[in-house]
Amino acid sequence: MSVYSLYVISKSGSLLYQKDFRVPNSPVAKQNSNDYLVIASTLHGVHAIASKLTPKEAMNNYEKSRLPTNSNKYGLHCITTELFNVCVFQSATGLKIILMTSKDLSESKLLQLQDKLYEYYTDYVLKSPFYRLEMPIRMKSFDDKVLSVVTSYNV
Amino acid sequence: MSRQLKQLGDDIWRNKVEKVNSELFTLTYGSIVAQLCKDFNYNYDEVNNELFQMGYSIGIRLIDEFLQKTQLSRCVNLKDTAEIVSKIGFKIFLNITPTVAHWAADYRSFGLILTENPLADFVELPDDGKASKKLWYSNILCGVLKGCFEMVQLDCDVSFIQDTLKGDDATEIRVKLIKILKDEIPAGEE
Amino acid sequence: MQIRKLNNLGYSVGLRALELTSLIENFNKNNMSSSGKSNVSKREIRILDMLQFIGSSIWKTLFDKPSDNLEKSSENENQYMIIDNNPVLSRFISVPKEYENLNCEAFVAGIIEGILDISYFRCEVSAHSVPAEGFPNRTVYLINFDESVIKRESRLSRK
Repeated sequence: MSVYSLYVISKSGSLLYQKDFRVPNSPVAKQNSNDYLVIASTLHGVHAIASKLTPKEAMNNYEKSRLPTNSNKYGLHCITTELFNVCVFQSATGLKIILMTSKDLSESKLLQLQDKLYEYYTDYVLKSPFYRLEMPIRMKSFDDKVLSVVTSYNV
Repeated sequence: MSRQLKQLGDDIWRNKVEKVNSELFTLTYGSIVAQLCKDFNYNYDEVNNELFQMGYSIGIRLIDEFLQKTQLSRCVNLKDTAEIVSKIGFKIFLNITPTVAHWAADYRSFGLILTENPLADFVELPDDGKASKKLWYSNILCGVLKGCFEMVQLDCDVSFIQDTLKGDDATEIRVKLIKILKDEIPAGEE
Repeated sequence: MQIRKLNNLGYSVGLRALELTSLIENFNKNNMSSSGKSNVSKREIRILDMLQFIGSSIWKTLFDKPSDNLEKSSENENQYMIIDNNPVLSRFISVPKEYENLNCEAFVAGIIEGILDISYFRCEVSAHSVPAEGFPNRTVYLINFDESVIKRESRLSRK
């Protein structure tokens, strides 16, 4: 199983953090920095459209089965291609953590990873007094933590 | 519900949060307040305001840690919110559980009564005749709550209405829901 | 400017933290007599003893762990260093490039200075980032003792 890319997107849809991980024969190609912004805002938009398409009444049944850690209720959850998945996590505050992963990554592993990344965001990004909300994340400590947890998945 | 919440709060406090020495915490907060009093030339209205702002900046960040650690989802009504703030929020960050009381008849405002307050351990207000009337020593807490609520789209007024440091019978924070900011709820969360 | 402020905040914490730590230590050792006065409240008067007390007892009270090292400068007679490989208070702080010389541990430097000052070791304490392999936040607290302290120390060691 592998994790190819990570996007962190703010409540308002701006790209806070993007990383492509070094995986041999990764099916997710590197993009230029402008394309990353386009991808982020597109995913943000499609997520909002998906939630708009979902009738509120339909949620009653879903409510019971919904995944405990991902607060993303009505929005886009997953895009599948022949070679990889795009998985969307959203916190109740609207922060999105989007992962591009290999198709054999199990749901429970995925949830664990999303939760861990959210934890690192709350510790290493939000607790740094110099970080301003909605601004790009440029912190070595966060980089290091992200890399180390993702590396443990890329086996 | 109430007992489950208490259990959850206890579990998180025991297993998930990092602790810091409480005296260091109290002393540090004390020297910040003392410094602010000096900086604002003992104008306590400004000190209250500054503490509130500091708390607000903490609150809008702290809410994410709260959500990550508790894995809770959006509250259904203000009664739930009050219980969760008291039994989980205060518990996991300060290891205290204020009592929820004094609900307004329309259930849009409530009081949080702090029988313990780690910010104010060994504190006496300056004896200048003004502080005991004007200074809300722990006002940072109101700012934190305000910031946290705002990030989950609850527009609230949060303020102290009494404080034992000032000679009142109890220490009470009043929370009043103004409105739910429906337009600002993130897509997928409504 | 920011460093001075952080240092001052720490200083006022340090003045109080000493009393508290000594008190707790005495409680733990059950050395309180019936009058409430401690039987062992001994005040350190030698530099190394005092620094060891800070690096172990004070550190354990405040940060729940001892400091990692204590060194004497080989160049300067009045300089000593307390070293923490992973300081608790700034674990989550990333300092941006434009504040390169700011180390938020200036607050802890202030605490040390407050403790030493109230114990009659006049000094100045500053915090410096000295990262090491595996410890990106490693911090050295550099203690510059006043001449008078060094003179007293050499007098005491002649005895």
